[in-house]
Amino acid sequence: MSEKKINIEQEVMDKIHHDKIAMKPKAYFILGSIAFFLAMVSVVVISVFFSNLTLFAWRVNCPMKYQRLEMIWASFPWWAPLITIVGLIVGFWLMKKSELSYKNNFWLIIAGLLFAILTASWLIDYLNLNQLWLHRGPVRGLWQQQEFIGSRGVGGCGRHLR
Amino acid sequence: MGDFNSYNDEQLVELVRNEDQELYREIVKRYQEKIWRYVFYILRDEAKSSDVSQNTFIKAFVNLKGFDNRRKFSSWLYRIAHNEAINEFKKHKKELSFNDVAEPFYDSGFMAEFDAIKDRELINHCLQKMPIKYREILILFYLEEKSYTEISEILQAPAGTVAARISRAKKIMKEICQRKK
Repeated sequence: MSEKKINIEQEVMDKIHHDKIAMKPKAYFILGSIAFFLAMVSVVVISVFFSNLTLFAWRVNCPMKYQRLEMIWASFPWWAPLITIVGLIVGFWLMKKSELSYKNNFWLIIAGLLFAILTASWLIDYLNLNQLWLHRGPVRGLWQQQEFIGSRGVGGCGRHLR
Repeated sequence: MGDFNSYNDEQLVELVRNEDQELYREIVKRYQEKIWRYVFYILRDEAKSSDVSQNTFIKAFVNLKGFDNRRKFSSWLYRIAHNEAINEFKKHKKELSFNDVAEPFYDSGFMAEFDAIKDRELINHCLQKMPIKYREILILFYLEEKSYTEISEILQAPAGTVAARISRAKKIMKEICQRKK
């Protein structure tokens, strides 16, 4: 081992002296941390957005509920919960990759994150904040479809708007 | 080069980062043997262990400014060595699984724990037969004398998992050794 030991030391130092290896600047790591933080925030925002959209699409107030349910089933934006799930998986992967989880209980962090996402989604739904983007973006088509069905008198269904 | 024995690892790292890169030699000197031995017990291949150890020190140097000085440097270094060794093991799994190097396992703590098993070659053989995740944790705990907290940092697993895995590893070790006898 002694000869190998000397080789390790000498070879590493030779590489440093001959500028074959160099320390990455501090900014690299700061930017990395910022990127990670932004990615996590994006995952949470996207998850909240799409889980809220899922709740929004399911929320019906209608006497002919089952017929309505079939219609909604046919037009339900399945990509929304799918993106939520993908978002959560990416978020968990990012957390596992980072050093956030090794000192803490990973499953507790996941439960906390899930709880935060679901609570935020429910709050947005409850406080009707989704009215802000009701007539825009991906929800618009769904909204118009519901309005159209309602106007044709299929049980007078519509969203239960507060 | 002056005498840096009184400096702890984290102080030395601070000097390497801000003042003199040559001081990295001191860090390599402190850990090269330990890292080599740790990697060797995972890979059981001298040449590959040297390469992996060298890569460990190179990676540590390149990422030195990313090291958080409030943490323990040795755990960080072992973490890099662990990643490198596991990657190497996965790359050459077939080849490395069949390496049979008779390296005595000199450690009083370990020997005391396995007092019934006197034969060091047998212990060595049993270790080799163990799944890597149990083998590695026994090495860290008994040979490298790492605490639960340090092992949890190196393996990035909660301390409870580390304790449970050590206990399981000891059982597996005894079972394998008894079967061999």
